[in-house]
Amino acid sequence: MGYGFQPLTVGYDWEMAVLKETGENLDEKEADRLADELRQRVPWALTGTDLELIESRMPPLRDFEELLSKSERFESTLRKVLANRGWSLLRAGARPFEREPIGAHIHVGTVRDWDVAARVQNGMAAYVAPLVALMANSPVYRNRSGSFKTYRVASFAEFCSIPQTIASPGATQPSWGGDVCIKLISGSTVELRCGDGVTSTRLMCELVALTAGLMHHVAEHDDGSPPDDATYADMMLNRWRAAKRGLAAVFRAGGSDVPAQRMLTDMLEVAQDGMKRIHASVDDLATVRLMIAKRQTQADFQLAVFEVEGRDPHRFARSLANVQRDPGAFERYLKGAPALDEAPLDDPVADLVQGIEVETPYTALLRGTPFAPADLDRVLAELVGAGTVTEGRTRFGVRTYTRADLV
Amino acid sequence: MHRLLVTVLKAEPAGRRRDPSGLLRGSFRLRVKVKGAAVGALKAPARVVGLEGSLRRDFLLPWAPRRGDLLVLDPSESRRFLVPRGARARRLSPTATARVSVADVDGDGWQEDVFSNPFVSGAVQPHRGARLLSLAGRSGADRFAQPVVHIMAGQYVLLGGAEEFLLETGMPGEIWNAAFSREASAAGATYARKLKTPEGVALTKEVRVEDGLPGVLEVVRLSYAGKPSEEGDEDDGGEPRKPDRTDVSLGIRMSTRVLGPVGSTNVIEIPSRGELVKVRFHRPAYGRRWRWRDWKDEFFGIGPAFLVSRNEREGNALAVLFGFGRAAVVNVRSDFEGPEVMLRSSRVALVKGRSAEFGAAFLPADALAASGTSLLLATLGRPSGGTVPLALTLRSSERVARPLAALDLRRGGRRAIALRRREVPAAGVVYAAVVPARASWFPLACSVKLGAERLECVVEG
Repeated sequence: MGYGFQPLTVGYDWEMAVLKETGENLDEKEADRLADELRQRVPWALTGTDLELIESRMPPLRDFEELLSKSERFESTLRKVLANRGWSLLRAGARPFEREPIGAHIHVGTVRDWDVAARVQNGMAAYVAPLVALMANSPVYRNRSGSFKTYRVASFAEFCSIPQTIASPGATQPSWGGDVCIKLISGSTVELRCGDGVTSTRLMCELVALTAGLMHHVAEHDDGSPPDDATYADMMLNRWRAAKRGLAAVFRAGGSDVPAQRMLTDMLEVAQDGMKRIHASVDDLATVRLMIAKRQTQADFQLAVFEVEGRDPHRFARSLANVQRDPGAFERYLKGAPALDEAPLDDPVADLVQGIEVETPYTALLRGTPFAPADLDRVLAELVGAGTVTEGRTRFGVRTYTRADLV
Repeated sequence: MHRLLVTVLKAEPAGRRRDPSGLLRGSFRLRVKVKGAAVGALKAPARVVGLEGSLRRDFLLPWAPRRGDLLVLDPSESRRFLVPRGARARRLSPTATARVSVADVDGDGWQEDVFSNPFVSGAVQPHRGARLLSLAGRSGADRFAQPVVHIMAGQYVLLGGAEEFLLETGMPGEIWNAAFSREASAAGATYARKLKTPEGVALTKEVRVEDGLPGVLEVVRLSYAGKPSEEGDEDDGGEPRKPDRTDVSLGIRMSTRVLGPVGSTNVIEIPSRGELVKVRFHRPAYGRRWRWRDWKDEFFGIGPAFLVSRNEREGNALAVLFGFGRAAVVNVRSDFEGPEVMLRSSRVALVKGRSAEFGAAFLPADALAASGTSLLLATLGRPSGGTVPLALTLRSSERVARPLAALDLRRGGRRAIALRRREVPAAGVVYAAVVPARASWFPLACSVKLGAERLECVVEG
C-alpha cells in the first residue's frame, strides 16, 4: 500500500450566492457577467458560475498561507465589485426562499492512480458525518426551517451530494455526486462534496487544511477495505444526525454513542501529519477548534439571525446579507456565542414512521430516510409485521406504505 | 405574503438585552422609506413608493442597522404602508345575487375584483395576470393555495390561485405577473392585454358568476391580428404568401388547496381514457434541482375535460371543468401547500383575424352542495366512459368545424341526453354524458334526479 498523493495539493470550488437589493439571487446572465468581470480582475481565481451561483475555483496549491492569502484577495475583490453594483454576498449552504442548495467542494490532490483514489474515497466515508456536522450551514431552505441544521445535506443537496457508495477499485466506474468523489476524469483529485457553502474565508481555508490532513491520513493508513454492513449503517445514521443537530449531534460507532465533538477532536489529531505537508497545523485551525469546543456551527449563527428576524425567510435573507458585509461576522459571533449542549438522541424509526402517510411510495422514503437502503427494508418489514404500517403496490409495482392509524 | 423593501433613514438604539440563548440583541427605532416591492418581479403600488414610516426592530449585536441599509418588511409591517389606515381586510363571502365588487382582499395595496353569488366568492387580480387568486364556497375556505412567496430562478414567483400561460412562450412567459386592462359589468369583468409574444396575439379573459351557478366561469379568447410587416398576397419572390398564422397552446396552472392534516389524503382525480386516474399528493421530504418541475410529474391524455381535487378524509373538493382536452399535465410539486395542477390545451393554429376560445369553470364542492343544483356537464371529445359531476359547455370555436357526431345543441334548444351512471368518489353518484356542443360556450341549465337515466336539458339562449 503506497502513499497516493504526489504531491499533496489543495483547492476548492466554492459556490456563493449574490443577492440583489431585494434579497433575490442574480439570474444566470447577471451571474455570467459578474464571473467575467471577476476573471478579468483576478485571473488565477478561475471564477465561474454554477447556474446562477458564483463559483470561486481555487487551483491546486501546496501551501496553506498561499491558500489563505489568495482566498482573502479574491474575497476583497469580490466585495468591491459587488459594492459597486449595490449587490450583496450571501455565503451559506442554501438560500432561504430560493431553490438549489449551495456547496463548498474541497479538492485534494494530486492523485492519478484509480486504486489510490478509490481507497481514499472509501476511507473518507467514516469522516463524512463529522464533516457534515462541522460544515452545517443551511438551516433555512425553501422556506423550511426547524428540522435540520443542514437541509442541503438532508436533501442530498438535491442529488449533488448523495450518501456515499463504497468503491471497489477494480469494479467501479467514474461517478458524480457522492459525498466523496473520485475526480480523475476532469482532474487529479478526490473531492469532498458534502460540505455546505461556507460563510467565512478563514473557516473555508481551515476546512480545506483539515480535509487534506484527513485524506492524507487515509491514504497512508487505510487499506480501503469496505466497511461491514453494520458500520455502513452507522455512517448513514450519523450523516442524518449530523444534518439534524450539527456539532451537538451524538453519533453511533461500534455499538456505542460517540459525541460529534469527540470524533472531531480525534480527527484533528489524525490530520496533523497531512496538514504539515501543506505547512499548516492544528494551531492554524482556531475557528474550527472553537466551533468544536462550543458545538457551534454556522447554522447556529444563521438561526440566531433568523430568530431575530421573526422567522420570516425574506426578512432573514436580506438581514443575513447585511450581517455578512462583515467578513469576520461568523468568527465574531463564535467568540460571543454560548457553548451548546449535546443534543438528545433522535429516534430514526420514529422519524421514518412520521414520514409515512397514505400510500407513501418507497422511493419517497428512500430519499428522506436516515437508514441505509438495506436497513430501510428491514425496518419497514418490522413495521409491517408489527401492524404499524401496511404495504401496497402502485400500478407500476412500486411498494407503498400506509400508516395504520390513518386508515 | 406581500413584502416591501425599505431603506433605513435613521436608526436609534432603544435598549439591549440577552435572548434566552445568551446572545446579545439590540432594539432599534427605525425611520424607513419604501423603495418598492421586496420581490423584484412584483410591482408595488406607485403610491407607496417613497412613503416614510417608523418601526421598531431587534438586531443581533454587534450588527446594528446603519443609515442606508436595506431591509425587507414582513407582511404585517408592509401592510401598514400598503393598506390605508382604518381599512379592514375583506373576507370572501357569498352574496344574495351575483355581482362584482372591488376590494383589496389580500392586502397587497392593489384592488382585486370580487365575484360573488349565493354560493361562491372569488377574487381576481387584474394586476397579476388576471389570475383567479382565491375561490371560496359556502364554508369560506379558500380552495386555492396561497403559497408563501417562493421565488424560482430569480424570475418567477409562485403566487397561488389559477393563472394562464402559453406554452409557446416558455415558462413562465409574460402573463403571470402582467397588468391587464379591465372592464366590469354587473356580474362579470373582462380583462385584456396584447401580448409581446407571440407577436400579434391578444388575450382577453372574461370572468363571471351567475345567480344559480355554484362556481366561477372563465373564458379566455386568444386572437391574432397578424404580423404587422406583411402586405399584399405575395412574398418578395412573387410566390403566394403562406397564410399568416401562429400556434398557441393555452394552459392553466393552479395550486389547489383541499388539505387536511394529512397531506397524502389529497388526491386529484382525472378521467383519462376509460379510467379514473387518481394522483395522490405526497409532499416529498425535500426538493429537487430542476426549475419548473419538482419531484413528480404525471401526464395524462385526458378524456372528459374535468378534474377533481379533493381530500379523502375531509371531504373538501374543487371541481374544475375546462373546455380543452387532449393533454393534461398533473404536476405535483413539493413546495406548495397542496398539489399544483397544470392543464394544457392542444395546439391551436390561429390564422390572422381569427380567434380561439378556451373556457374553464371552478366549482368548490361545498358550493355545489349548497346550491342543490345538479348542473351538468358537456365536454369535448368522444364518449369515453369518464364522468363529469356537473356541467358547462366550454368550447373553442376553432373546434366547431370538426366533424363531431351526436347531439346538436343550440341556444334555446331542448334535448334529452342519455346519461351514464357512475360512482365518483368526490361527488357520490354522478350522472354524466359527453356532449359535443356547437356553440362557443354556454351554460346548460339542467335538472336531474338520482336514479334518472335521462336528463332533460334546456340550453339557455
